[in-house]
Amino acid sequence: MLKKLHWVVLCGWAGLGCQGDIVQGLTDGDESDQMTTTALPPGTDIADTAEGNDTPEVAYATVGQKARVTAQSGLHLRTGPSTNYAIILTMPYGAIVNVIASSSGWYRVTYGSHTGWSSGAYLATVTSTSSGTTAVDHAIDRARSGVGFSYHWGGGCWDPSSSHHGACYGNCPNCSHSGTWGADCSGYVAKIWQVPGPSALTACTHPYSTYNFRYTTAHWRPVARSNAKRGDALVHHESGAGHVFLFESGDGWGWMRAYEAKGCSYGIQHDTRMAASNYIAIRRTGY
Amino acid sequence: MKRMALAAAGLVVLAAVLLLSFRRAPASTRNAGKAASAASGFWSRARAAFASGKQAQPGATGRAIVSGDWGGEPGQFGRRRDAEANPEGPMALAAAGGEVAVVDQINRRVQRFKDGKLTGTIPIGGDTVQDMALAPGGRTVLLDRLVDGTVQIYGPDGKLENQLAIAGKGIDEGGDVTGVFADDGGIYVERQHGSVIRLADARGATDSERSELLGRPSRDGRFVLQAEIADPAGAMLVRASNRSNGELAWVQTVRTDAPILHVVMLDSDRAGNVYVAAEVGRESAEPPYELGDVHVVALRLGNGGIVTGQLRLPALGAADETFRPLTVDDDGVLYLMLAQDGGLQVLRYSF
Repeated sequence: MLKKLHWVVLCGWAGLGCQGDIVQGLTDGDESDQMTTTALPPGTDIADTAEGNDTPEVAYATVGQKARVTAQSGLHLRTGPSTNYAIILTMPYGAIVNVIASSSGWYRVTYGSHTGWSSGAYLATVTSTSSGTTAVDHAIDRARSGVGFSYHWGGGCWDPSSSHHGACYGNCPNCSHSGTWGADCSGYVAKIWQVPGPSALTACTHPYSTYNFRYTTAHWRPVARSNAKRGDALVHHESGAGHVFLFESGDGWGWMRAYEAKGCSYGIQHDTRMAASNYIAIRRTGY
Repeated sequence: MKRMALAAAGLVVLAAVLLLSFRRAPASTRNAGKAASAASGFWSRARAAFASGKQAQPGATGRAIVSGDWGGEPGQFGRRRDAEANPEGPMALAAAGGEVAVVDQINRRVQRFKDGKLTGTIPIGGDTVQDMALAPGGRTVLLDRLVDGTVQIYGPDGKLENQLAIAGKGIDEGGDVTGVFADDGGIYVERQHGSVIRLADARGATDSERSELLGRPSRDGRFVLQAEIADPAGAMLVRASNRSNGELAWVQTVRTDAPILHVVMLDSDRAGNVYVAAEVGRESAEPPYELGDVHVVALRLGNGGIVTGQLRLPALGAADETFRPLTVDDDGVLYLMLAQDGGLQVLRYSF
């Protein structure tokens, strides 16, 4: 019963919540005494958490050692050891922190120049044998390597070692582009996902449009937004206009940390944004 | 007959006593560090359910105070719906002194309206501004977090006075920023809907210290505010901390009538009320899991975070990205920016 009462904190943000036995939300054990039990959304599992004065069932972090954030959609860093305390920032999945103290399942950690408290249930001690690199990690690495390159309508290639990012002018599709490298939104996601198959970042291919991502299932399939996870994409296509972006993590408002070829003026960005209600989530086969 | 009258009177008295007890002891108001007992937890839950209500009001009727077609003429608004790119319309609005200002970034301008009429335009440098705050002294503060990476301060005369770099102490990259704010104490940007970093004083002079506050400054100057989704099935946590010492003043759980997609507003008025809103909807059980019954639930929280009003508002609608589609003014009047096929409307609502 206790676990059922605790689930709310585990799915921490709306629309993109828990998935399987891995917590997808902003997972820091959010719960307050005024919470009531609520029916679980489809696909939601119940996870344990280290909340308030409860003792965690498993200690994942070790004082004096480094730990990795294991919550797929990020983990709050707070000013104190409970959800009553304010959020300083949200640490992304995979972030490495220094663990300096603990209190009732919460750990005082330093992340970059910030110091605060996080739930220990979503921290794992870093060991010399842990590799943890997955296909999704590689996809995120590819996404990151494209940030700063230009928007190129119909394009889908970039050279991470190049300082020539290209430039876009005007309103697409009647826009012009200078330089070799750049991508539009669908070319960018196709390259990140390596669909239909392996393709060098520098190979200028553009196999799918947002129409394909939205209405076909060649190498991906729709998933519920409430089950979306790191490495999935959000896509919209209506009346000839469409956009697709890669989902990295969420924040406490249900906004999404995205990698996207946003448009001619913006280029390829890593940003926090809302996704309108007519976006659906899709997942690459194998992710 | 007498019995029925007595029973009815008894029910009225009981209801009054319950109501008074709820009002006397705010639902989930707590002091930081105080652990709630099991008994108080029960009553907190009961009061929270009472205070927040389970159903939003039937669709509130807003009054259109600004209407403009899509286009580039004065009074019109720019919209971009390119194939294979992010669709966007006006990103943000702000309201003060009976005026409403809209960031019409596609047309590289801010347009100000009063009584439905265009009263002024501020030309802006680029088309990638995403947020705006109206600062004391008639200044307009704009956020261009992704391309220029700056906060731009325009004077009352519409001229650019200063540009503040966003990245630096407290902000790793512009994409982390989730809002810009201004008050008598300074100009701030918010990091990931958490802390805010002070970039300048109220007149726009750069603050090299870049000190942090634990949330958005409230308009009455007393609190800093944060909100977060506590339960995607329909609960948000709103937290007010004392601005003077950072201690928790109150925390309140408020509920919505459908699962939450995203929080779309956390604001306040001069009287100390706090406003929070979320777009909500229900996901289909079958692929492609489209959303239905999408709408916005807006709530007003009074002293101690007690819910004192709520509105059911239209869905934000189009796929266009927006950054600040709702706001309230100093008096607590709510404004909603709605992109539709024909153009943009700003609707005004009162709680």
